[in-house]
Amino acid sequence: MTTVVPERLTRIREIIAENIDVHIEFADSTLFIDELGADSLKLIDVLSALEMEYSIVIDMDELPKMVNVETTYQVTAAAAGW
Amino acid sequence: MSTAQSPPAPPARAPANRRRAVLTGLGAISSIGTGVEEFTAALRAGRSGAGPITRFDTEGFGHNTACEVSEFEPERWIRNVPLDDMGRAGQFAVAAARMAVVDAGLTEADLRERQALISVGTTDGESHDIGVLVEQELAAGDPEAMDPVLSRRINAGRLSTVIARELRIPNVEATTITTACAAGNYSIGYGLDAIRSGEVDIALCGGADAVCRKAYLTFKRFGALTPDVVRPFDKNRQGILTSEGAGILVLESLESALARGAHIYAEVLGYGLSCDANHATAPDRVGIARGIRLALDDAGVKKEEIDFISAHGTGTKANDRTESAAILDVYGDAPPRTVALKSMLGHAMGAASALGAIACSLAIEHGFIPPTIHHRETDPACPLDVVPNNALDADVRLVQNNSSAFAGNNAILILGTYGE
Amino acid sequence: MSTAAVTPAASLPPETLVITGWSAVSPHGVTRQAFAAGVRGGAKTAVKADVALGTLPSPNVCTVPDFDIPGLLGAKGTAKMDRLTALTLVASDGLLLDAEGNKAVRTDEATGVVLGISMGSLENMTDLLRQSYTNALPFHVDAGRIPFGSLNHAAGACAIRHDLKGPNTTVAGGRVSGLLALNYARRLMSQGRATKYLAGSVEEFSAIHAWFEYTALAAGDPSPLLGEGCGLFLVEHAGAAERPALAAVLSIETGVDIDDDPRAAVTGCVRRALNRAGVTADEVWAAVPCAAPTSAGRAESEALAALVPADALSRVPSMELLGDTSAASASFQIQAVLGVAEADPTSSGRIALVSAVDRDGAVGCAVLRLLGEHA
Repeated sequence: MTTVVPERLTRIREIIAENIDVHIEFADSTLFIDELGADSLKLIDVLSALEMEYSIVIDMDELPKMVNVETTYQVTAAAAGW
Repeated sequence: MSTAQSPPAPPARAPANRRRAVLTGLGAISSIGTGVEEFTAALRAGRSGAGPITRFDTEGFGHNTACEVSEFEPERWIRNVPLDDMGRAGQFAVAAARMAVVDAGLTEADLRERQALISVGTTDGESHDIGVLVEQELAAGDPEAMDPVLSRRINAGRLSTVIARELRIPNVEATTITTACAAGNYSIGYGLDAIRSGEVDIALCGGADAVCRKAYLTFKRFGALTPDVVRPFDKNRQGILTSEGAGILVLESLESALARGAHIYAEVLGYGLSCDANHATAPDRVGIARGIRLALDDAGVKKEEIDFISAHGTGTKANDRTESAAILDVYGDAPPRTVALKSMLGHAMGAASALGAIACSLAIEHGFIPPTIHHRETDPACPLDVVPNNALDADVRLVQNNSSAFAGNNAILILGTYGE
Repeated sequence: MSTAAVTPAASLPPETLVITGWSAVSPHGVTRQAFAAGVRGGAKTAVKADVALGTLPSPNVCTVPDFDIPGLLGAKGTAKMDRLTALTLVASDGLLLDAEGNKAVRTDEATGVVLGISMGSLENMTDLLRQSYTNALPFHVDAGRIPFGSLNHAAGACAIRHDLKGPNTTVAGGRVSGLLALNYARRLMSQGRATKYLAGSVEEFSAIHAWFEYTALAAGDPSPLLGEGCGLFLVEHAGAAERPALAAVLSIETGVDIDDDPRAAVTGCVRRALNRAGVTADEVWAAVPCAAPTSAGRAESEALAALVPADALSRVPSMELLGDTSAASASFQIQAVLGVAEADPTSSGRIALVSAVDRDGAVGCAVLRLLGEHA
């Protein structure tokens, strides 16, 4: 597991909130689909926004792992080589 | 916003004494063949239209495959309107319209004398030109550098008005229907309604689209582009290939067709439109099933009578499983054979269901069911006989042609043999 | 034939298409009332363009004032929404909801939607392309904006917002698209596919739209003052209407100018429309051309002037006051007549005519009988 850099975590949270269109507070362990009402297409929006933010490519096969902020951070970190 | 307390609405009712509409001319431009003869042979042979993309720079996409129309010669078909007045989608539409009119044995004089409808469906219209304009602006750092020849022709309405100008038809309702990937069936349905109502004798209907960066990046971004070939309903399907072309059909009132002794390919028996009102991009089982039932009712056909279904069948998991479930919802556990022409043609967007309708007419005319190619193992979640890899000879009397689109638009068309 | 005859809605053939409601989101404001008052007062709507729009080919625009998308539609689902969809949804709320936001019109699976456009949200489409050309990789585009780039998105979003599951269609025809949409609704209702329709048309202003229009100008035509907005109608059959009819749509005729002679094409189209409506040109009480700032627009005005009484052409202030609203224009023309008629007790039973010409060669004309009752 990559060590979490707080500034990156904050930015990734913002990107997630914007792209799954949530306007309430949620925890890093809150589940996007089951608890925030996202669907798989919203997760593609998150993935693409992360790719653009960090000029990286995240394999679409990683989508099922992006279930909450914590796991999304790890997927992003792995793709970015942090 | 509940209306639960309201009394139920009276059902919409089809009027009595409506006229019949038959298909008397077909014009096809596709990645597997242009013209009725070539297209028929390709459908029977199970040809694939896939090849390297030449229309735009694909560097960085990690893919380079689409189903383009090769060796298209617009000047063979377009004589009256300067070719620069339209983009590639417009050229496809006009050329296919000319082909269909010639196939129907109609002259320009015949067309001038009649009330007509032109309806052309499209997903992207001339979005290829819009992409070129954006490139020009970026290259120059100045929007004034954009080519006026292109900026004049970007509106989708032109796809239908330019057919009227080329074929010299003044008294025509020319409408472009932009219901994305269901637009071809929508346009044919609109032609059917115009003829049924007695308002027109002739309708030139179908769809046209050209391969473009916009469509390609959309499906790439959604993870929906296959790295190799299109395998609809296959356990190992990986997505779609974008495609292009045009299909234009001459719909004619039965009286008019009989009076001039025209060859009749098939009868347009009915269609159904439903809106999911559910999700902006995901297909919806309930909406598709409702569209199928509406189409069967409109055609006055029993579901047991359908000989095969030409599926929307894009080759994405979301489409194939949802569409298959909708078909089973309507047909029970013994659905008709269900084939996916997109295995051969790729996804020709607004032209897709128009080319599908032409394929269905040719299947009726020549007695065969086109195959679903590249098929290895049917997805157990899609328990359908997809007519894998080889066409079947069969007596085909009634066919259902499916289409669905982003925004929840479903259009289902029913064609049948013309019988007195 | 008497020109002052008042024809009550009840005496119409039951399958006559009647307008029983309308809404406008326009350069006059986001409500029907603002539009009607602005039209009647002959108010100008051109303003200096917002600096956020960047460099424009001409400094003035006729945009919808105070169009705060999240404020009007809520935060959910609007962050990436294109302007064209937002204009449509605000207009649909105006048509279907009462002042408290409750549904005021009964809808069901037989309620259709048909929307006329030019080319959808050009801003959305070109933004995505620009991202594709300039970002690190060509698919590095904002995926959340992609659905809004589908030309049928606004009509589909309208269906989702109000749960409208009937036929849902988008038609493209530039300035004629509002008439194509009304005719589409009329025809599908006549074939029993819907009992009620939301029909109308929409255009958005954006810098790229302005530049496309500017570079497309014919030699000698001035840089156009562009407008935007969405006009929607609720249409029903006279015999089944659940609300009072404001106007009957007696005929809609469209055609294509195949000889580069817009005056002749409009003249022919208007004559056919009058014939089909069963009225004479002398009976026309109000005539509203689209007033496009082009040679075709001037030819259209000349064609009408040669056909209808002079006072009919001055009954409604010129559509130029709204700017060239392109796809929205034909809907706004009809609504301008309705706005003038609702304040004029002598309008009931009168004939109104609107016409349109488009760069792509389409021409159109609708003939209506005004039916609004006045206290």
